[in-house]
Amino acid sequence: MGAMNEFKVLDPEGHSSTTWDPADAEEVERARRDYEALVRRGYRAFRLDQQAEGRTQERFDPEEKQTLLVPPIHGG
Amino acid sequence: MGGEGLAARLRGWLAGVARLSAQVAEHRARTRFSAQHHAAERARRLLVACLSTSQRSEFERTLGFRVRGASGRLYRIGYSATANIEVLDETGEVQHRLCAGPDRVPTAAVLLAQKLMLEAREAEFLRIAVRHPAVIAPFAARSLQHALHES
Repeated sequence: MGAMNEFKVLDPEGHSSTTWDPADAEEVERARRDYEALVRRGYRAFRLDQQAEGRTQERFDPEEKQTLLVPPIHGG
Repeated sequence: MGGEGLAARLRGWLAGVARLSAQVAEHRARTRFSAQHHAAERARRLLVACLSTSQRSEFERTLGFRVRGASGRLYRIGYSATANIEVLDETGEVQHRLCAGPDRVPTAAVLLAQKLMLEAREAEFLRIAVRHPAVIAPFAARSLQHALHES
């Protein structure tokens, strides 16, 4: 098994994770489906740059080590 | 068995049911508290892991950290889920506050969502956020109590 990449989704439990091996096409496809389903529901995807600053991720990147998915935000 | 004996047995049975109900309620409360505590800690660990060195150091000292938006504007995110973003001017004075975040996530996850949105999607965040006055003392007091309770 190769190195695992993951996306973390902020949720009521703190966060949940989906991991995949970028060399495994089936795992990549499963992660892509889950990722895209969340984005369709209004989740926003981010990665952190080397200075730990948030950067927008426009589409699923199977090579990205860690992606963060944020639920839709509301003003209050 | 006489009527008094039956009444005594019934009272004993009812007392047993009441004790059992109290134990179940206590167990549920402990489980809920433990789950909330676990979620809060999990969210806090992820937040800390996603902060820059200077943000982490500031968070450890003050339970808040500063974030610079793509526009160059500086914000300070405090440990609360309500009107917890201070919009700062060049001198560091609070101009006003902002309130926006995801629902039904622990406070630390709200802070992480706000950091990411302000750093990477500032304009979108500002369109959604509700603006509050710079000083909202009663809110601040309640938020601090909430933060202390959750930690």
